[in-house]
Amino acid sequence: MYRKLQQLNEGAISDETETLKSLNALLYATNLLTAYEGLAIAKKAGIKPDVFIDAINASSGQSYITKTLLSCDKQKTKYGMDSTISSIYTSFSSTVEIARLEAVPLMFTSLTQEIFAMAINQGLSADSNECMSDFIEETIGV
Amino acid sequence: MNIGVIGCGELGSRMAKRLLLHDYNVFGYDCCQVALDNVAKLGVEPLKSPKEIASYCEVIITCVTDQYAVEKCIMGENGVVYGLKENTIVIETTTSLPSTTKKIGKAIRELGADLIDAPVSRGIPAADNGTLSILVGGRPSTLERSRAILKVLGTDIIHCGELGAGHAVKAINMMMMACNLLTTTEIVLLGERSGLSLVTILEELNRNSGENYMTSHHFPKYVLTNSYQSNFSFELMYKDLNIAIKMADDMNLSLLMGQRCAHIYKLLSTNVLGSDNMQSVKEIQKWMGDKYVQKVTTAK
Repeated sequence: MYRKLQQLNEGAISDETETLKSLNALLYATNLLTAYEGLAIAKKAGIKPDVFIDAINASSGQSYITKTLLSCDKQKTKYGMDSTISSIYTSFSSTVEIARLEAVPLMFTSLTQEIFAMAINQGLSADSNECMSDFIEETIGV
Repeated sequence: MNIGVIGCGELGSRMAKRLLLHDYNVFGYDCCQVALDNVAKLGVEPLKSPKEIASYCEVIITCVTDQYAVEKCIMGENGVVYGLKENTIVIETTTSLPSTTKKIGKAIRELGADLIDAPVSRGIPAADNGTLSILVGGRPSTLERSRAILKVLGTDIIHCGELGAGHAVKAINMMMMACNLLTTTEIVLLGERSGLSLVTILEELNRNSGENYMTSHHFPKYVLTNSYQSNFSFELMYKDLNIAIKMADDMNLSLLMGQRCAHIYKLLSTNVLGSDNMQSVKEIQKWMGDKYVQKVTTAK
């Protein structure tokens, strides 16, 4: 899959690792937006953020984001994503492009690309991924 | 102690069974006679109305379909409030709206009793084993009085705040879970289309920053083994998502991820046929992607 995109771009032929890295990036970015939106609703509802995160981490809404980024327990992983909004956008864009080429519908995760693109267009390109929290709050009306 | 269970369906019946195992006297009511007959076979004493439950029991657990059913069984004709005694505790476990919880809580408190919202998560197997996660809203003192009973039902009892906070967190959790399920389903579909195995995809995601409850628990346990069995339909998920959306709407918030997720579940609940209305990752994948494969194959 990734190889196909690389070939189309006349770049170096990559491998399975690159495909997995790109898939992971889109999953990470979407989990990030989901977690920040959940946190924004909770805050508006008057629930303390730390209580909310503890509750989510004991439930089925948990993710790497809720367990690390939001709980201030950051871990470095193989494909660590503690980076800028623009670099995350670049990381997952190849996956979105491949889905387009392969006609695989991304009915949900395509929204991630749209939201990140909005943030970049509003001048947040070089900001940390954690700034997406403020961006989401502002966008949904908190 | 006498405990009343109102709503003896999939979850309520399992709660009743666990309470019986711990030597509580359990009384039951359900508007569905079959459900009531089934719990009677377990040893639950069937009663004729929520009012009658309230007149017999010191603790009442409600586990019904939605906020409308909660309001009806508490405040409707022959509802709990018409038989309620002072110091009774009502434990409301339905996935419901915080605004409904606050409304019925006010009515119950005026009668000298109290209510906590205590929606549960982790599903049917956890209800069987008493390992549910319970998100509680309400007075800390009432939670402490209820704790021994809650510990029969779950292992993680989290006090989220004032009345309605448990329902708020539950609704948001359901929204996050549904979003993560759709995300993982799409990522896996794309990975498989590129020739990667599900095992490889999950192993890598779980080692890295894309990990979520779906990649670490749901997919390995149910999707990988093709053993997913649930009565939780797409329509029920849509209903739960709408609780989060309604809650957000009440606070003048316009959701992005939650709204898109709900829209997709609405489409799934009306489009996916032949699945006995059961929520299945394979059904979502088939609807999203495999139809394309089938058409290409047929064309060839």
